[in-house]
Amino acid sequence: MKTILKIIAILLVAAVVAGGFFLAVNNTSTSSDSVEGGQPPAMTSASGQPMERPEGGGEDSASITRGLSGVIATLAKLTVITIIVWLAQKGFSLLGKRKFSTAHARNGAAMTLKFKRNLPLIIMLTGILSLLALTMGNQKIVSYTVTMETLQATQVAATQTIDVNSQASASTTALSGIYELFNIEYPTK
Amino acid sequence: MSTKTNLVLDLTMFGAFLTATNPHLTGNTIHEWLGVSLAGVVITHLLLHWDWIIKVSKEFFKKFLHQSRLNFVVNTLFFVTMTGSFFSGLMISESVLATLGIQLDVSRSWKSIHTLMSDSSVIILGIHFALHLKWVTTNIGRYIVNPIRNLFPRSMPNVMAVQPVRINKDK
Repeated sequence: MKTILKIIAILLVAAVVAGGFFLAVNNTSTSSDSVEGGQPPAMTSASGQPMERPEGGGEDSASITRGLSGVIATLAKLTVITIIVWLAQKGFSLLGKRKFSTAHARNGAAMTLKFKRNLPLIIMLTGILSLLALTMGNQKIVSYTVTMETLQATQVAATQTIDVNSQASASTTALSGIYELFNIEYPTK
Repeated sequence: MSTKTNLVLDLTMFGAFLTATNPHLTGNTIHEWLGVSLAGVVITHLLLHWDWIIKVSKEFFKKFLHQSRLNFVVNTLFFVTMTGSFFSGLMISESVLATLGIQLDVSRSWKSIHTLMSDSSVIILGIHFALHLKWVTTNIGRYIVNPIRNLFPRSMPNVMAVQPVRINKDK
């Protein structure tokens, strides 16, 4: 019975965390949709087929070579992180011992005690900053190739949805800018 | 629970984690089901260390500047990132939810979150492992290396012929 209650408690905490993620994603999706004014016009080729990013292979397929290289890369990352943290711990403990021996020779251990009290916070701060530095840079860049064909296809989609007689909208301004860049006459009704 | 059980569970979890973070090794279907199994193993791991979790939670601010509090913070972060990985993985799941007869129309952000949370989990696992390095190395030596070493008997050194020693009792 106690075990079941413990499992329920763990699942409840996990549900709270998952709920936080869900709300964060929903709020992000809602705010991004309201800023852009709905779905952007689809990029299509001259034949009307939707453009797709070329992919380097199916995500569902398994490859032992790629998988093993991924495992080795993960192990290497773990090794590097372990070494960094271990060295930091060793460094701080050696520094603490050295300060203790000199401070003890001078006047008690007031300074070293303060240093030892701040040690966990320093390690935690180092860890959090390292985590931020390593994760924030892992952003994927999505780019599409803009050609004459895609521009013409976008024109078809844009003129169907944008009211040219109304005040200039951000989309209209952006599209007219792109047309000027390629020296194409912007269509006006 | 004994230390040996803990060690076996932790090593199994580590192997499963390594495999799950590399879906190219197993394919998407096994990756998803392995992730679900890993969630169960994580819950078991938390149950085995339940007493420690409760004890440190209750006395967190009494002895704030202590190694165990740093462990607690790192473990909490690990729990958050792992939960994020599991939940986002379920949201973008193709095999697991299809087996359960559930279809979700979700935002593309979930895939980014899944990648971010799994990368963060790897980093925090490194920190978690480093903070428990002494326990891991001691118990791997005790329960794995030494038993294997004892399987191979050492070669006995050449026994020298014992020479009789004469003790002079003249004086």
